[in-house]
Amino acid sequence: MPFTLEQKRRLMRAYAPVLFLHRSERFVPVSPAAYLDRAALWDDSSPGADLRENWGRPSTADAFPRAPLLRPGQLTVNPAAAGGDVHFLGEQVDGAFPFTQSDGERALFLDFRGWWEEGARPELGNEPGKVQETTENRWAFVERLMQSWAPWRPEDPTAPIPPDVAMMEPFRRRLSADVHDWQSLAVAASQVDPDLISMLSKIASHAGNTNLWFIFYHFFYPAHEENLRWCEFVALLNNLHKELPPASTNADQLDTSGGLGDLSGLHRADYAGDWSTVCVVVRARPEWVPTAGGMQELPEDDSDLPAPSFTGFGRRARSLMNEEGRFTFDQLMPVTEDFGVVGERHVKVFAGRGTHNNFAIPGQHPSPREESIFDSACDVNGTDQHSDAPVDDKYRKRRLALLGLLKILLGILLGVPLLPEVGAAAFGLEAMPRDTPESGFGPDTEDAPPSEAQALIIAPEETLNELALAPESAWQIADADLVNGQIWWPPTLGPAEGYRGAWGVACAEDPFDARGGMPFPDARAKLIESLALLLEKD
Amino acid sequence: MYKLILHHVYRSSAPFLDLSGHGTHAQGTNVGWSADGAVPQSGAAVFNGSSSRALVPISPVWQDLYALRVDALVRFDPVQGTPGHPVRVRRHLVVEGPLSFAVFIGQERTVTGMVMGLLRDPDADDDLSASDTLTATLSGGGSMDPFDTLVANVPDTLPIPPGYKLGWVPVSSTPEFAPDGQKRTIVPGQWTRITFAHMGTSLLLYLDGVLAGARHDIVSPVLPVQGTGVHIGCAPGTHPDTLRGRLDELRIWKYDPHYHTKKFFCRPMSRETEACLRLMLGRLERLATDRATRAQMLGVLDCLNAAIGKLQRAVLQRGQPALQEVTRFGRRYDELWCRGAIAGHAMRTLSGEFVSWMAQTAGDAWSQYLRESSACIRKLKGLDLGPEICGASGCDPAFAAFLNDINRHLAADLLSCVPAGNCKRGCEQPPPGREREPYQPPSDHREPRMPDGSMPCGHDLKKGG
Repeated sequence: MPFTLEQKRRLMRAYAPVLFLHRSERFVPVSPAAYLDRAALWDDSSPGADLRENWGRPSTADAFPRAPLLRPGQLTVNPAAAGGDVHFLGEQVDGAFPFTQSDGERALFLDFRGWWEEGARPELGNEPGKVQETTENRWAFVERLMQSWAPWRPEDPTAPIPPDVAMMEPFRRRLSADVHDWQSLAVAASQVDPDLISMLSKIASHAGNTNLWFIFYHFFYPAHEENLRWCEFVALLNNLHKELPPASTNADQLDTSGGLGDLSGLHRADYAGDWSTVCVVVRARPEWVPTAGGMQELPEDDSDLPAPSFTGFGRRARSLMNEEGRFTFDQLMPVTEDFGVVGERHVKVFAGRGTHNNFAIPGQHPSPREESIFDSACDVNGTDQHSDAPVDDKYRKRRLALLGLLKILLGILLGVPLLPEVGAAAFGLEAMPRDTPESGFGPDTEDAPPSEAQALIIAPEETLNELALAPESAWQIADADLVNGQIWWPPTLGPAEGYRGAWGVACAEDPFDARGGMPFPDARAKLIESLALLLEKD
Repeated sequence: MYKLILHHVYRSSAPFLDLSGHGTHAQGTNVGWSADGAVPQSGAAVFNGSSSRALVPISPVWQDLYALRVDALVRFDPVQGTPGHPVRVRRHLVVEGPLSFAVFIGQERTVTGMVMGLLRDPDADDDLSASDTLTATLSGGGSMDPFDTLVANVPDTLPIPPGYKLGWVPVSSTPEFAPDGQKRTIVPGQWTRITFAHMGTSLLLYLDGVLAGARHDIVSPVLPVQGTGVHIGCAPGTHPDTLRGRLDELRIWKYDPHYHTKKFFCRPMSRETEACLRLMLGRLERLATDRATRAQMLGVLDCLNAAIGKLQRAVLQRGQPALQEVTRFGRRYDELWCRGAIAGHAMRTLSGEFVSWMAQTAGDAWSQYLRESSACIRKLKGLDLGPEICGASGCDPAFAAFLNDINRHLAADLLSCVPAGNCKRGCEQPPPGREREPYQPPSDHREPRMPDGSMPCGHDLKKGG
């Protein structure tokens, strides 16, 4: 343990970033513990299958409605508050941890005010937020999450804050920090992937890197909001065997559900419970390296702490297909030396609107999908997993022929003379070898605030004056925000019995894994790899 | 067509980091490192000819290779020996994926690239036309020594078609494979870029950008890597044949199964057109995967694969100039396609040049390809194409115009149309830059029909059925 707890807490505050959110951003980072204390907990006996009848348990003799494992108010992260109907998240029952253990057989997910349903459809008798025979449960109820968690931004600044908003105020503008030096990160990394040790050694072998500090800041947003790209929407409908919306639907306005009819809810890539990570890397003085069994030495005054040298900006893309042909997400952590700071140490972080992906500069940025090595649902047209063919017999290797056939059929359908030869010639032109790998896609972007001046800012208290911000813009940092074995962190970040489940509701009809809540994504391995690659390229 | 799955630059000592993003880092044992590589400060891994090992652990990325390209910047530093005591080694490995692919420098300092695949048995006359029939994976691990006879370790379940046998299929920089009959060797102490590619129907080997070896009889895809992973600078097993030399850079690509889909949809198009084409493609994909229709649909696709494979092979057999020419065609096509300029003058010119060039260069292979692809389409007979396809005739006017242009060139070619300079009415090309009018069916437009004269989707396409 090369840092004392006190040193870690000090570094957590000393390097807290300045977060620039888009003015139309609807959420700010909140306390994960407060979210947990107010959420229901569900178990899903067929993870990934999106089968609502396998969520929780029936509350009557019929399959529906379903009831969660623990209702809101029955879960607590404070062992002292447990008792009666209230259960500690890390409670042990018969040697198992039923409220934290989550895997491919039985997955857990948190439910904070449920699912959105197509509003007021009396013929369905649906009841938003519940899992009933007549509900669809396709989409997290983002508006309700907003009601609880959105920051107070009245048009009239003198308007009094409503009591229910005020009640949640202590839990907004919160962050969590995980503080390491090279030695402790090596120990942690060895539990994730032993190969990371050699990468860390490689990093340390570069000049100036003998005593690196790593401060990971985790931001928890109640919801992720993202437009579904048109091609993903079409691919999704392809996969679900659903018809396209009627021609009268304004396809340019897919962010509204009007006109989508039975497809409503499938048109978004939102999900509840969104984790985002930034890592500040500091080149500390070599003489501060602890001797065996000792602690790092920190200067007495924060002003003597060194400025950050690198920053890893966490980004995430979902609905991507991995090498094994399964839809998954990709956690990216590009590291750079080019970033701005406020004061001497507080890194400027610009967050994408709704997506909470992090960037070093304001403005529009390519989507992380473009940075990922994985293919997207669009690339594979969304149908790769929907097959009853054995894997090796799949048509993936016949893609070229498939497109050739499409061109030939178009030729036939158009009724031009020479029939298939025309399409075949087009196919021939397409199929000739190219000796370099290429790709060419149109822009797929997301919006960080256009400038610092046009941002909603959350900043460390000591920078408020410099940024001319009101006290309500300050991070609310408590000692408990330091990652220190709390039960909600999954192993290896947290204890072995830590919470491994998803932080938002699972969703029905979600074959590309776009709308269901996600477990906490540990970005440490990616940070190490990205930093090593940055140094290798230099 | 390919995607990069390994990129080592050796800027620092082991472990060697992969820059491709696929996590194909290599652990090194007894591999030295030099700050200077092909240029000062570029870095190089140093292999000692005996105990050096670098291993990229096996991972899913090494499955489903199908096609492959290896590019290595190598300096070969053989032990010189003396006239009385010549040092003879079997080979110096650059890289080997056990039971999958290998690139090495041979005894005569020639270079060999090879893949594990189907070899035609000279005594048999069966013809294997579908290049991806071989899809099963080899079981077990370890590398079969390419110099040993392949009898052991081949699983009984591997579908080896009659007339073929499984073995290492090489291409070397020897007169046997060189297009110009010249033997090309690696010069000791000099940096050489070795490029080896499996392109579906051909194996190509380049030394410093010059085609040093080629063969066009490839009928099987590159098999998955087996054993513990990809070995760099050495071979697995009892004969490591360790490289004595240096590596400045190593890159490996594999086939990207979604490359063509990505490229097809890179063209700017309306949402309606994109949806229409994606649904059409989705319907074809379902026909290829649903149990009831799979066999028939895969028959069509394999037939088309075989037809295009023969054409590719015929073109590549014309040597490096032909390959460069089709590469140029392909790049021009990609550029125009992704820019959305498919119904303009440039694409018309390209289509015309391509059709003429194909007819001249590939000759019979081109007309055979057109015939065979028609025959493939006939195999669709009886398959319910569904409204996604049958209702798609009007979904892409720009593509319709593009096909119509090809149609004219094809007609001109097949019907011995007079040269463009003497074109008659209906053959003129608009001046460069002139906007094309919306697609209109040609005056000789007729109802859609399959090659055998039947209608593809019933009698009324407009009703989608």
